[in-house]
This record gives sequence, structure tokens and C-alpha cells, in this order.
Amino acid sequence: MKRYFIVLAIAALFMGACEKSEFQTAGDFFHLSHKGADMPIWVKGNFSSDVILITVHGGPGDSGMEQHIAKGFKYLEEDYIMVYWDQRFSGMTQAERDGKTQNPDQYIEDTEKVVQLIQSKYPGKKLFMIGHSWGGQLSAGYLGRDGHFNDFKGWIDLNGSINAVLEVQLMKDYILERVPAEMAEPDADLEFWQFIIDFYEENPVETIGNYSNPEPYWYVAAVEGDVYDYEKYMEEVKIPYTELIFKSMFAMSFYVDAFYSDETYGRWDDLDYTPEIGNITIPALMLWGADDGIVPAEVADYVYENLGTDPSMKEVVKIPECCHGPQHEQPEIFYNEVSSFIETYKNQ
Amino acid sequence: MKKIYISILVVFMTMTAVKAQTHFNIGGGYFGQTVSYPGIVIEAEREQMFSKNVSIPIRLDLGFYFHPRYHNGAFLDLNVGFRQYFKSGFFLEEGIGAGVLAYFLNSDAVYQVDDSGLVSEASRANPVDFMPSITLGLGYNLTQDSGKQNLIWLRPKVYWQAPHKTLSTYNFALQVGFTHTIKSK
Repeated sequence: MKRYFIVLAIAALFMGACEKSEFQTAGDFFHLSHKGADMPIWVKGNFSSDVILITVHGGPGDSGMEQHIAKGFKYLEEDYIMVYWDQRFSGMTQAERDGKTQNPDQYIEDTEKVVQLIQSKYPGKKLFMIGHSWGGQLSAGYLGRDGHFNDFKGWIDLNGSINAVLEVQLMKDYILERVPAEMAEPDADLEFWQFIIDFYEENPVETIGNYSNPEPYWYVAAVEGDVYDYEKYMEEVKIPYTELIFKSMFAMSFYVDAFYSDETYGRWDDLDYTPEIGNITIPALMLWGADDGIVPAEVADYVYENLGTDPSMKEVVKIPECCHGPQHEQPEIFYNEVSSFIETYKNQ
Repeated sequence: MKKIYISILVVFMTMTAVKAQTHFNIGGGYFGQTVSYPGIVIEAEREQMFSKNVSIPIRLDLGFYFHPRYHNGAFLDLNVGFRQYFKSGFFLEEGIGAGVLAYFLNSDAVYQVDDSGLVSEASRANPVDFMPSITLGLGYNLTQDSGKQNLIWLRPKVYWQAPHKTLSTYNFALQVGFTHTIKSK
């Protein structure tokens, strides 16, 4: 009897594994092969739409495929064709470790190739681009160079980076503003909070790498500047771990892969795409979590001020009770803002 | 740790001078990349017994697997390790391997875009990778008292893919299969 149970359990396991998931069946899935990197591109959503929204993921080193998990993006899939892609040395991109191609300019070139491929495969569609965090910076760099913005109806900058030195300063301000309140808590770990104060006294902002130095990100998390309400977030953001591990395009290697090293992150530290955004003149929405400590909301104002777009076609929206992930934390507001922006400008 | 491991390996290898018997085995089974992405592995093994319960299997594995929207892989690797049999019929084993892995992108298509923006299809194939691996095993000898062994086994395997993935980036596979002794001497 026991033997039958074992056989049945094994059969059930394999039958369950054989059942394919959305990650393996939905939409179109293809690779862009460019300069040693095979980057996966997932196109899904409402294929009857005349709008394509190209997403540019954060990190650097995260995955575009994960964007689909966010409720906010799922809502957008109901209305538009969504493009998710994994950048070089990120997500499930397969590439030889060639350090020479791991630099921001190469990522801009890759973005150009992705857009050209999408235009070729889905001709006649109206293009929008949305970049989150590092993806905001990458999309700014891409759109602002060589007139790329002319191919797009609009740009959505979602909690995006732009100017490294400015952001390190704003992160410092954000953290140090909140530390006194933390220290005043009855059971505060005073030594820990003092350590943060000392860190900033000992390290001038010019010496802190915006990407290569992880400490400020830990401190932002300590003052709850990454996610506004962590418990609510954990309740609402259902990550389908079983599907991701056993029934998706992800392999185990994704979970242990990394962007590489502090040295390669260092190539991102001095990035400043302020001149590039000065070139962009298309409609733009700076959509931010008002309480974001990772890329503080003042950055949205900075982008607004420096963007070449006419003031009548650009807007800053700061979502209350929301930090770095509006697509997860406030998906309904995120969806409403993005879809309203697209509907406003898709025919202009 | 590595030194200890190598020392033990050398000691056991030299002990083959007092060998008892050699089995020539063949086998095969399911190769599940990340457990659920299916494949097949077939094997040819020379198992050098140097006591009734302990052996050094040298095994050549040939296999392939399909991972939708990731890649299809085909590999050939040579594994060397230890196998310890117990009176109950169960055995434990571990081995290290070195081989090659060829992979082919698994998606609707692979494209390239040239400098003028022209799109064309590209090859799914990639250069062959070096594939070091570590395999553990738990199994059961169905015919303990027979000269010809029939083994069933469960083998988790961790393998690397150089230079396409760094050393910190491993793949995991679970193998379930059967080994049969075709000849002993």
C-alpha cells in the first residue's frame, strides 16, 4: 500500500510539473542576440490594442519578466500590449561574462535594438516607454540620445534615477531626517542609529557610489523608505514562487545570479543623464511613490525641471503612502495614472 | 576542505590495488533541470569495488533537457566518486564531474538587429560550455545478493556553465533512474 502511495505521489509531482503556466505559454517570447548577450523579450497583454508599452526594468541586474508579477502591470496588460525584456547581465539573459560590454552606453545601445526589433515585429503600433528605478535612468539616456524619443508617443518615468550625486544627497537627507524619530522610540537600538549618523559624517556624499555602495540602501530600508507598509505589501503582493521555480522561464541560476561586482556597479556611479532629458520633448509622466527613500520624490521635480518637454505635456504625480514600487504598493492608482496618460497622448 | 577531499580521493584511488571486483553498468533515467524541466540521462559506468560495500564508480553521462523559454541543453560529462552500500540495500554516493554542455535558446525565435536597424533571424546555438558538477546520490540495490546489481537512484546534481555563467551561478537538476550491471569481473 505504501509503495502505491509513493508511486502516486511521484506521478502527481510529475503531472503537476508538466502542466504549463502562463510564464511558459502566454504571449510571444523571443530572444534578441546582440554583442554576446541573448536577451529574452516577452510580449503579452491585449494584442488587439494599437499601443505598445515597453517596460525597462530596474537594478541594474533585476529582471523584466518579474514586472509581470506586479498587479499594476497586470492591469495594464488588459488594455495594452506590454513588452518585458531582460537587460544584459540581468534576469534570464544568457551571456558570456565580457566585462567590456557591461557599461551604461552598451545598455542604451541594447535598448535601441530592442525597440527596433519591436517596431519590426509589430509595425504601426503607438509606442510608449516606462522605466522603473535604474530603468527610468536607462530610458532617459536612450530617449534623450539620437532623437530616439521621436519614435514614442510618451515616456513614463517611474521612480527613476537620473543624477547619481543628487540622489546620494537626497537619500542622505531622507535617512537623517528620520533617524531622530527612530532614536526616540522606547526600544530603539541607539548604537545602530548612531552608526548611520557616523557613516554619513565619515563619508562625504561625493565618495558614496550611488550603485556600488549598498549601505545607504540598507539604511533606507531601516527607516522603511523602500516599502511604505511592509505587512500590507507582503499580504497583497503574491509572488508565485512555485510557478516561478518550476514552471517558468527562470532557472535556478537566476536566483543566485548577480549583476557581478562592485567594480562593475561602479561604472554606473557617476551617471548623470540630465543633458539627455533636456533633449526629450515628448509627453512625460513622472510617477512616484511620495515616500520613496531609494529614489526620493524630489528627483521627480528635478526631472520635470530639466525635461525638454513643454510644461503643458509633462506632469509629476506623487502617490501618497507609497515608496519605491507603485506598481506593487498602489496598483490601482498606478494603473489609473498610466492608462490615463496613454489615453491622453496616444492619438497626439 | 578541498584538500581533505582530494586526499581522501587519492587514498581511495590507491586502494584499488586491493580491489575485489569490477562491475560494468549501464543505466538511465529522468533528468529534471530545476526538478521540473524534463530531460533524459543515459549512463555507462565502470564500478570498481574495493570491498564488499564500497566502490569507486567512474560514470559517463550523456543527457539532454528542455526548459521552455530558457534553453535546451545537451551534455556529456564524466563523473568520479564513491559509493557506500549498506546492509539494508540502500546506498549513498557522491561524485564530481567534468564535461561539456551545449545549449540552444528555447523561444519562438532568436533575432539580431544590425547597425542599420535591419532585423534578421539568428542562431539558437551557443558555443559549448565547460560543465563542472557535483552529484549526490541515494539509491537502493534491488538485487543485493546477485552478482548483477540492479540499482534505483535519486541523484541531485549541481552544475556550472562556464564561461556563460559565473561560479556563483549554478544550475540544479534532480535525476531519478535505474542502473543495471551487464558484466562483472
